[in-house]
Amino acid sequence: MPKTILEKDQASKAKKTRKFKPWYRTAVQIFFFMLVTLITINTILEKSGISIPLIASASLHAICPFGGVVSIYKFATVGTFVQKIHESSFILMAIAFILAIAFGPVICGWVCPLGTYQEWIGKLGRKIFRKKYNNLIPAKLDKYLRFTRYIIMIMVIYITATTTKLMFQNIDPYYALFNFWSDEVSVTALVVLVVTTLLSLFVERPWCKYACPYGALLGLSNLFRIFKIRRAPSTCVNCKACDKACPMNIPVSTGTAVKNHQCISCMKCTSESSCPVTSTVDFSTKGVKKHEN
Amino acid sequence: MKIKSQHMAIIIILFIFGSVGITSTLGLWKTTNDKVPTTYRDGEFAGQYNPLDIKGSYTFADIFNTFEVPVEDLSKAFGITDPSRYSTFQCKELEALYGFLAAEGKEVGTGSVRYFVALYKGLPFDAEEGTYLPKTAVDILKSKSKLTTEQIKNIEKYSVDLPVISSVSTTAPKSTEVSASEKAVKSSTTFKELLDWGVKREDIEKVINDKMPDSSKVVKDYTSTKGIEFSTIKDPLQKLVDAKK
Repeated sequence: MPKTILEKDQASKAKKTRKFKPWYRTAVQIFFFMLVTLITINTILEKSGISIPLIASASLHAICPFGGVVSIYKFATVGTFVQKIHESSFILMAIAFILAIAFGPVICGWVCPLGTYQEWIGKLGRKIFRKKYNNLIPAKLDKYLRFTRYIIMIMVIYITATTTKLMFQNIDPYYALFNFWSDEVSVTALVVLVVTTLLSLFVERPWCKYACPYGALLGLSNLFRIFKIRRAPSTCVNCKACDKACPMNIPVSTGTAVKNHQCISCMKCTSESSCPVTSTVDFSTKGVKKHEN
Repeated sequence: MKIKSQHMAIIIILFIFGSVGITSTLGLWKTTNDKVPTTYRDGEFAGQYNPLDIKGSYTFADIFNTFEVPVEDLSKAFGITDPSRYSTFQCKELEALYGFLAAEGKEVGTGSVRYFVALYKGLPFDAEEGTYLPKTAVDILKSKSKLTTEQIKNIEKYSVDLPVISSVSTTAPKSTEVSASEKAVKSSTTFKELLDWGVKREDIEKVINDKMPDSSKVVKDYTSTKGIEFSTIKDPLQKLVDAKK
């Protein structure tokens, strides 16, 4: 649809006044990435009787909320956890679910160190492929590939429930990333990590988009979360800045509220970050719709 | 209501660490196993420890503490020939030692220890497919447990003869003599090791300010149960060890 003169004028002004992008999410991501790294190092050092002050020591499984998810069946039926899983995984699982009900998969967008790692690799990919970056997979194929993570999720939960073993560890790139030197990491997991790293040069967050079973589960919260990404069509200038900013390729500009199962609540599309018009794309509850006609 | 990214950052940090803090205060937050297995919920064995909950991190001493299966029997059953490893050997180490059996679709690992303990104690247990017991374990069970004919038939069917060569190679360290540099107080050190290194029981008791527990107990596990930081007694114990070098 051709743009009106007013829209063109607004878009042009907006481009000129593109603001400073908030750094809070990056700070939180770095914080959690460093925290997990230090906890992992501390766990290794502790075996030699050394420890980093103020940093806890715990296995990676103990601080991964997905461990709680795969343990639910065994806990409900036998009252015990799947091997390597502890109470902390269950508590983190509950924390992630509560946050997801309120804000969607913020654990994916703000906390998950593997997501952060893929974003960092992606920055390099963006420099190499420029505009083609994150747009290389044909939309028709991509549409279906996005559902493969649900198949993986069902398989992982089913196999873990029936074998009571943490089989996901054998393909988990997150575990491989923080334990790549350990003989506990399977070759398959290392291969998945390498493939994820290479794909991150072309596609933003490939593991999250196509394979992460935990992302798939948390992604369902986008259908009913309390706070949603909401767009006010009355002030929108159709510049598509929100669509371009979305790491998950969600067409934010085509609706009034994002209910896409892939949204990671990163807030990159909001008026605070990419949208050039104030109070047009916000992360809000349903009550804030004053701009809509 | 609208949320900005700085609010989101604060909410995430406060909610995660607040929840962890509250659950820690309530004693719910646990990132390690307290080495106390769950019990059977109902039936004839209600209240007894369930071997199904034996984790890979359990040492043979932990199993002795809860199931009262002697570490000597466990070690002999699973081909651990070095007495200095009887107490400290972790179930998960079996998977690495006998990993070569996987090619034949057999597994001697933590599942095998669970199975062995269940049969040894006469507790109900459904072994997972592919779980095998070494022939030495089968012999011990036959001599020390009251097994039904069907159970004997079953364990004989699912037993493996572990090659002697692997048995020997698994019992590292090869020498029972421990060099001075190896005498370091670590998270896996047991009270027995301290005694073996020449530290006197009364000196250990002075450091821990308590009676010394069973010598097979790992020092770090002892500090965890007493709510003491391991680091606070590690250095004084190391000094005692160093004084004996």
